[in-house]
Formats: sequence, C-alpha cells, structure tokens
Amino acid sequence: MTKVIIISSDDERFPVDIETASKSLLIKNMIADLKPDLGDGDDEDFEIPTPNVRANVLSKVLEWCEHYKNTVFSDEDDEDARKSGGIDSWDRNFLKVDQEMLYEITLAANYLNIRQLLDTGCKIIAEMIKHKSPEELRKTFNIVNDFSPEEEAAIRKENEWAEDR
Amino acid sequence: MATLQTLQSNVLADILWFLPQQLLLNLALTNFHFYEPCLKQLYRNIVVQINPPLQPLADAGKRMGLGFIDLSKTTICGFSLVSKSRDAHLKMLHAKLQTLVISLRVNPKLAEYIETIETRGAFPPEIVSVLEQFFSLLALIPNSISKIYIGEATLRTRLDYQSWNSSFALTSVTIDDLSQLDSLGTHFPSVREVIVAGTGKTTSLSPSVIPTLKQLQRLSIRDELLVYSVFTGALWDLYKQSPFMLEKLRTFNVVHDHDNWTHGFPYINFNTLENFQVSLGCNHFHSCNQECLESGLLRFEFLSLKRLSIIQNTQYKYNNHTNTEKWDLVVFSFIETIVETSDTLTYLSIRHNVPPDGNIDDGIDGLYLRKVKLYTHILPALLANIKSHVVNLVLPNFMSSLACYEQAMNTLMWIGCKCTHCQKYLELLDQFLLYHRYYIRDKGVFKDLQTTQLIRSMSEVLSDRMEYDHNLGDLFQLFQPMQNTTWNFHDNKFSIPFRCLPAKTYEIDEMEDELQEASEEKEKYFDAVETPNDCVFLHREKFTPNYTTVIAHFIDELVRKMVHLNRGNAEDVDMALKGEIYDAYSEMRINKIVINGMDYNFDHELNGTIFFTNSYDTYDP
Repeated sequence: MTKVIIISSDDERFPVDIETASKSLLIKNMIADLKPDLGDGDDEDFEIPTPNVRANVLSKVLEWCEHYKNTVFSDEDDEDARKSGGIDSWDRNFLKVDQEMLYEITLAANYLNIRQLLDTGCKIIAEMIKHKSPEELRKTFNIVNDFSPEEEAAIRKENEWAEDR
Repeated sequence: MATLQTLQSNVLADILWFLPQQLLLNLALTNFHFYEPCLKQLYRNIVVQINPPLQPLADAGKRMGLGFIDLSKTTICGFSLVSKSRDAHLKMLHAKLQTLVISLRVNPKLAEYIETIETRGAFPPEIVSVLEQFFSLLALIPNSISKIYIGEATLRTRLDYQSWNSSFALTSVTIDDLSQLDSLGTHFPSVREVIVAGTGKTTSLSPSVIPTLKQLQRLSIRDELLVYSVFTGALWDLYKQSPFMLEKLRTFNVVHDHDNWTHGFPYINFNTLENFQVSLGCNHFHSCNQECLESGLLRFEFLSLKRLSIIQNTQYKYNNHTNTEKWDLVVFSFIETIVETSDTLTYLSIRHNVPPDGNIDDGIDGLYLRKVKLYTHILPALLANIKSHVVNLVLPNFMSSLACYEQAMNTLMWIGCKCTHCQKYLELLDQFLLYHRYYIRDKGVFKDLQTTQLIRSMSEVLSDRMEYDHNLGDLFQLFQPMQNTTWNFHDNKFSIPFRCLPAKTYEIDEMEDELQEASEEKEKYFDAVETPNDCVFLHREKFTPNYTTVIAHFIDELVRKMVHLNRGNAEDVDMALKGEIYDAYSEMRINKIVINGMDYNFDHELNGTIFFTNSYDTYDP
C-alpha cells in the first residue's frame, strides 16, 4: 500500500498511511496539491519533510493521528463545538508527558495544522494555569517578574472590574 | 527549549482562549510578555448582567476535563456568590462598570481590544446611567467593536442605540423598526447579521434594502408572531416586486402558526442553511388539532444543517400531556428526516411551553412514563443515526415538563433518592409543602401547595440559568456561559409569592379561612420578602447547592437511562457490544446534554464504557 513518508527535523523517516497523514491539514493539502493521484494505484511513496518537528515529537503526533484516523471531528471553525468539548480521557492519558514535550506536541500540531490536537494541547496547558495566583504561575512556568511593584499595582487597578469578588 | 513564554503568539492566544477571566488577569500580572495577549482576550467579548456566571464546582473536573463554555465571555456582573441580595449585586455591578469606564479613560487603547458587548436583562436607572457613560466613552475613542447587543428594548431606546451608526463599525445590528433597514447598508456596509427585535409602524421594505439583505449570514427574527408576520410579509412583498435570493444566509428562524404554515420562502436556500430554529404551535384545537404542524414542517429540507432548535409555541393552556405528546411526535419525525439528510447536525434543542403552575388535566403516572420513554429512549435512538459527529443536546425546560406529572413528583418527594443528602432535604421540602399555599388567580383563592407547583418552580429557577431571549432564540445557547440563579422559596412566575402559614395546612380549616378572607375582601397579595415572618426557608435555607442537588439526582437518573447506564457502576461495555446486554453502551455520539441548566459532559473509559459528569451540580456533601 502506498505510504506517506514523513521526515523529522533529525532525519528520521515515519511511513504512515494516507488517512493517518491526512489528519494534518498541511499534509492533506500538500498531497492534494503535489500528488493528487497518491493511492490510486501509484506505488511510489510520497516524502514530506517537517523541518520544525523532532523525531520523538513527530512519533507522538503520528500516534495521535493513527488513533483518530477514522474519526470525523465537528466543524473545526465552530466556536461552541471547540469550547463545549472537554478533554477526552484517551487524550488526557496520551498527553501525560513533561511540560516541554507538551509544548512541543502543541507547537507541532500548530505547524502541521491539526486543529483537534492543538486544541487539546492548549486545553491541557490552560488547565495547568488554572487555580494559580500570579506568584504560583511564575513558579510553575519559570516566569521572571519584570514588573515593578508600582506597575503591578497599576495593572491590578486597571483591570479590577474583571476580578471575581 | 520550549516554554510558555517562547510559544508562538497564535498558540499562546489559543491557550488564553480557554482561560477564565480571573486567570487571564493573574497571567497578565506575571510578566510583560503576557500583558497584552491576556488583556486582548479579557476585553474581547464582554457581557454585562446582574447574576454571576455559573461556575463548575471545584472538584467536578477531577475525573475528566469539562467543557470550556463558561469561559467564552468576560462577564461584568454582581458578586460571584449568587446568594447575595439583589441590592448587593447591583452595587457591585455598578462599581465594576465605573471602574471599567475609568480604566478606558486612563488607557483608551483597551477599547481597541473590545470586539463584542452584550447586555442581558433589564437594569435599574443607576446601572443604565453608568452604561450610558460606558457607551458614550467608547463612541469617542478608537475601538474594534463589531457587535453590540442590547437585549432589552427599553434599554436600547434609552441608550439611543439606533444613533450609533457613526461611532461603531458594526457587523451585527438590532432593528426595532423596518425603516431602519433602509439606511443599514450606508451606515454599516459590513453588516452580516440583522436581529429583528421589532418592526415598528413600518410594514414594507423598499428594493434598496436588497443588496444589504443579500450579504446577510444571520437573520434572527423575534420569536413573536406579530413581529415575525410583519417582517416576513414585507420580505414576501419585496420578493414579488423584485425577486432576490439570500445566498449567503446560514442562520434563519421561522414562527409557525395555524394561519401561516403554507407560506413559502423562495428567497432562502435551505440546502445551504446551517442553523435553523422553528417555533411550532397551533391554537386551533377544534378545527385543526395540530394537523398543520407536520404539513408546515414539510416545507423545510436541509442538506447541511448544523444546529436545530425547536420551540413549542402553542399557548400553554393547551399543553397537557396528550397535546404535547402529539407535538413531540411531529417534532421527532422532523428530526428523523433531518438526521437522514443532514449528517452534519451537532446541536439540537427542544423547548416546551409548559403551564407555569404545572397544572395539566392528564398528568397521570402512565403518561409520565410515556413522556420519559420518548426522551430517554426514542430521542437518543434518533440521534444515534448521526454517525460522523458528536452531538450536543439541550432541553432547557424538560424537568419543568416532568414537574406537571403529580404522581411522579410525589414519588420524587416521598420515595425518591435515598442518599443521605436527599433524605435530609426532601424531608425539609415536605415540611415546606405543609406550611405554604399558592394563589389561584382564576378562582381568587389560596390552595395547599402540591409537589407539582413546588418542583415546577424549582425547575424554572434552574431553567433560567439558560435564560430565553426571544430575539436570539436557542440556537447559540452554548456560545455563552450560563448564569447562576437562586430562589427565595416563595417567588414564582405564575402567581403572587407562595404564602407562609402559621400552622400546617391540614391544621387550618381551609374553607373557613378562605371564606372569611373573601367576605372581608382582604388584600390577597402576599410578598414573603416584604412581609415580616419567620419562614425558615426564606431566611435560612440555601437553594444552591442543597436543593439543586435534589433535582440533580433526579435528572442524573434520566441521563443514565439515555445512555444505558442501567446498573450504576457495574457496567460492562463488552457484554453490550456482544449483544448480550444493552449496558453502558450508547450508539449516540454524545458530547453534552443540558437539562434545565444542568450540564452533563460525556466521555468514555479506556475500555469504552460511557460515563458522564454533572459539572455544576455534582455536590457531594
């Protein structure tokens, strides 16, 4: 069967079937534009380089694509479809990785244009931010405070209308 | 090395899209890098309302991720604790709005982040006054506002909404008179949405509005027969004069009535419509008996519908079990046709017009079981035909419908949930029934409160979490957070507040009492809040979460039935898949069910067994 060979930034080759690769809108469009007859008896594999994605990240992303290859997601531009969905248990389990890997998977999903995986990554990062004070956020995400006490007070005052009371 | 600070700006913006307002503020305070992206998201969509938004219980999301729908707007409201007095909420809302006005004066750049502003409900003069300041200020400074929706007609007039054409580049406009459509294209060349809240004295449209109409993507007509008839009548006359087609239209609604069900819509291509609402009803019971409903629905055929809302608009006095069941069956048949042709459906809502006092003449137990079967077996089976998309099902007042069945509500009250929590609070509700009466306007007398009126009133408070706006309908209910509501155990929407009694109902000679009052021509009005009394429910009992949990446990059971969680936690999906037992396995690809403001999110265990979380009301004392 004809395969799409996705090549990572460190030159590792990942042969996958067309359905799996097509979860990425970037790859799907590339196939449509450059190799529209792929899979129609054309036995030649199609190579796609992903210069921004390391092999261990690409491997995870393709594992996700393989899992969901037969799933049709709701309209990806639809705000309530995106916001009304929680995080699927399988996804939550799948993304139990260290913080850096989570960012890299999310960035790869953004680069490869895989909306559902990008949203799930963003939701999990958003959950890490939840229930934390500015100080706790700095600690968790290794953020350096570059505001003077006066600037911090001014920002608080400017936006205190939005605070939970 | 990737960190939160090094993420690309569009990825950071996506993350911020899923954060509540307090967290956006907290993150903005950590480092200058986050200041602008966080404030852009914080100011983007603003809603002004008195009640606080409903927020998930702290421990509700432990097992699964809940939806993020409560984060879709930044809410300016009263206190986050809903049980505060109305005065306290208003003071807080006033203070917040004033602070926002000052912030915009000091830093006008913030206005450039605002894209939409909505106000929900009516406000007292002091809030209206600060809203006037807010909008006047925005009109003077550069801004990115494309939509301002003022839900209440008198507030629109007071704020002089129709004169804002030179101040904002709106793409969504609300009109109160058809004549306003004439100049719409000139004032708002980018308009894509028109909300017809009223038609005024004008009854016709001039051909000059056709180019504006043709570029509309959304057309929402107030769900009121008079407004609808005048507007669609004017559209029809215009079409006859100069035929046109609304090719770009994706959202439209119809108000069906016995006298208009034959009207056609040659200017609308239903094949490309994505969002459709129909208000469906017939009040000609002697001559028609709702036969026109099915025929009326035959006018609509879809190929790519995403959202469908159906609203019962038969007068509630006709809506007993028999008539509503007939309505339900017509609606289900319509849904069946749609899912066969539009596999794209992702949202369905069905709203009934339930008698406010819950009194129907055929609310017997057998018919209650039929009603439950319709919605817990037949409807999920219909939705199971949608194979390629997950579905959101919204039944804004299904519990209110069930409250009309007295025997079933008696069962809920006296032999219902046996958990410790329900045992305690159901017993208190039993006491409540014994010390309260409700007023029947037609007969001019107070009667002993029954479970029907009590549960109906409780359900209505929950239903108001997803308040119905007649201009907007139900199609986009999941685009905004629900509001938190509470109850003082006495106010109700069908009569004057419940009357507190000094003794149990059966200890008072009812006839004597009522006759005496009638002979004395005593003032019937009773307001528990303003009348000094020692009713423990008025002064000490908390509706949320103590009593909402009681209703939640009842609705939980209905939802379990819908997805075949027949044996509590002892499900075995493997057995279900082998066809041995239909257990814990639903063919319905359901994402979310909302019943009377109770929000159920679904997920699957790793072995495939379905489970759900009631995100706002799973109170475990």
